[in-house]
Amino acid sequence: MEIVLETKSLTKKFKNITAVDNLDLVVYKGEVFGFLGPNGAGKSTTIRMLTSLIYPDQGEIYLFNKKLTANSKSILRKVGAIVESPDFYLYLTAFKNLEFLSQLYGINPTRKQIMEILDFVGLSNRWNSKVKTFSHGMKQRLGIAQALLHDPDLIILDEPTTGLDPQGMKEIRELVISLSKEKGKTVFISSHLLYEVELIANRMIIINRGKKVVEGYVKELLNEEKATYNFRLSNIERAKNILISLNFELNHDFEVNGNEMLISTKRISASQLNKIFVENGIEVFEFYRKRTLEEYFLEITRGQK
Amino acid sequence: MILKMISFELYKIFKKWRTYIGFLALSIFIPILIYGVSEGGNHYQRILDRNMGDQFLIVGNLVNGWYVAFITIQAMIIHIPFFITLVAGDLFAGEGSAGTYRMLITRPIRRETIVVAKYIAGFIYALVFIVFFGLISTFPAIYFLGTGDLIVPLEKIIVIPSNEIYWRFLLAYFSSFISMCLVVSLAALFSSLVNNAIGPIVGTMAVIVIFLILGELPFELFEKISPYLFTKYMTVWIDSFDYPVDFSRILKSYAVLIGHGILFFAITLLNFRKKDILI
Repeated sequence: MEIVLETKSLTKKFKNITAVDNLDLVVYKGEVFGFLGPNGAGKSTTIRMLTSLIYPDQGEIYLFNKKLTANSKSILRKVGAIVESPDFYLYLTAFKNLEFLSQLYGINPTRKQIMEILDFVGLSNRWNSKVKTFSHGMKQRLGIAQALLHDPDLIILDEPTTGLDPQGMKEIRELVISLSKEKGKTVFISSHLLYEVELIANRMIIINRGKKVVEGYVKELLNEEKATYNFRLSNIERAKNILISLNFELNHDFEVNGNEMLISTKRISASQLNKIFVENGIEVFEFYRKRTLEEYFLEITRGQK
Repeated sequence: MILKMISFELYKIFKKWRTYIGFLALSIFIPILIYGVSEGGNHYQRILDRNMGDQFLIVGNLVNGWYVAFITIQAMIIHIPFFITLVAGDLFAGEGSAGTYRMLITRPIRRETIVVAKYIAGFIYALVFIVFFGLISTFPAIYFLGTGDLIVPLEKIIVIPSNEIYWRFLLAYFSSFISMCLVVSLAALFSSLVNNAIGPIVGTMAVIVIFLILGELPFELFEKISPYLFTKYMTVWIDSFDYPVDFSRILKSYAVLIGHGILFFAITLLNFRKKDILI
C-alpha cells in the first residue's frame, strides 16, 4: 500500500511540557485514518506540525514520500485542512473567502466551481453573506468547502464535528466516507469521540499525553475475541458463587462493583450467562457488552490514566 | 503569487472600517482648519504686519492656501502615524486574533511571501493616505484661500516664492511617506509578535511619542542621544521648506529612516519564519 503520510519520532515541546512525544504513525492512500485522543492529548499539536503551522523539535514528517520541512510548498498544494475551528475573514462573504483562499493554492476557480462546492456543503443560498453572520456549523461547512476546493489528495480534518448538532455530525461523517469511497481521497481525521472514529475510519491511532497508545485497524482493535460483559444483578453474592462453581476466578475472570459484575469470557456467551443467572433465581436488570479499548479510552478521557 | 498576496492584503485592508478612520478624521479636521484660517486670516496677517512690518515689506496674500497646507502638515504630522498604525498594527495581529493564520499558512505559500506582501500592502496604504492628505490639505485650501508665496515661520522666517512651492510640497509629502513607511515597519514588527492589534498600536505610538519627547528635551544627555533616535529624522519633511534646501541632510534622513525600516522588516521576517502558530 502506498504511504501518504508518515511521521518518525515526531516530538514537540512547549517549555517543560512534551505535547507530542516520539510519535510514529503511517497513513495509507485512500484510507480514512482516525486520530483519537482525549482533549489535550496532542492531536492538534500533531496536526499543526503536519500542516506547517508549527515546527517539530525532533523527528520527521513525510507527506507523499517527501520531507515536509524541505518541500512544504509543493506538499501543501496537495493537502486540504481544517485545523481546529475554521476561522475566516469575517468581513468577507463566503464566496470571496473561498475565492481568495483557493487562489492561494495557485488556482483560479470559476464562479461555477465555487458555487458547486458551496452547494456541496449546503451553503449555496448564503454565498453572498458575510461570514460574520454564519453559525459555528456553517463555518464548519465552509471550512470543509475551503479544504476541498482545490481537489487535494490528502484531507486533514481536526475535530470537524465539534459544535455541530447531531444532524450536522451525521452529514460530516457521510461526507468523509464519500470522500474516501467515491473520490478515493485519503482522510486524516482527529476526534475525541471513539464512536465517531469507529463509524468512519478504517484504521486508527489513539494517543494520550503525546504518546501512541495503540494503532491498528478499527475493527480489530474494537472487536477483541475475548468479550467483557457488564451485568447488573439482584443478588451479587449468589452470582459470585455460581461463577466460582463454573471455574471463573474472582478479579481475573470477573470483578464485582456494587450490584454490578464485569465478566470477561470467551467460553460462555452473554445469553448463556443470562440464562444461568435467571435459572438460579437472580434477576438480571441489565447487561451489555463492554470493549476493553472503549473502556480504556473512556478512562483516559476521564483523566484516570 | 506575491502580486496576488499583495492584492489580497490590500483588499483586506480596504474592507475594514478602521482603515477609513484616518481619512474621515482628515476630512473633518482640514475643512475646519480652512474655515478657521479664512475667518481669522486677516487678523493673523495684521499680527505678521505688526511684528515684521518694520523689517519686511509685506505685500499680497500671505495667509493663503499654501500656508494652510503647510500648517496642516505641521499640525497633523504627529497624528498621521496614529492613523497609519491603526492599520499597520493589525497586519499580522489581525490574522492572529481572527484565527486566519491557520488558513494562510496551511496554503502553499512561503512565510517570507506573507511578510513581504503585508509590508508592501502597508506601504501602499501609507502612500494612499499621504496622497489623500496632500490632496485634501492643498486643493480645498487653495480653492478657498487662493495662492501666493509661502511664508514659513519656523526658527527663521523663510519666504518661498510661488514658483518653488509645488516641488517643495511634493518633496515634503514624499518625505512624510518615507517617515510613514518607517511607522508601518515598526507597527508591523510589533504586530508580528502578538495576536491582538491593540498592543502594536499602543506600542508603536508609545515608542514614537517617547522618542520624540526625549529628542526634544534640552538636557545634555538627551541631546547626545537625540541623533540616534529615528524619530529625529521623521520630521525630514520640514527640510523641504528650508532655504536653500539641504539635500544631503534630507538624503541622510532618508537613509536613517529606510535603514531602520529594513532592520524592523528583517526582525519581523526572522521571527515570522520560525514562529509557531498556536492560535
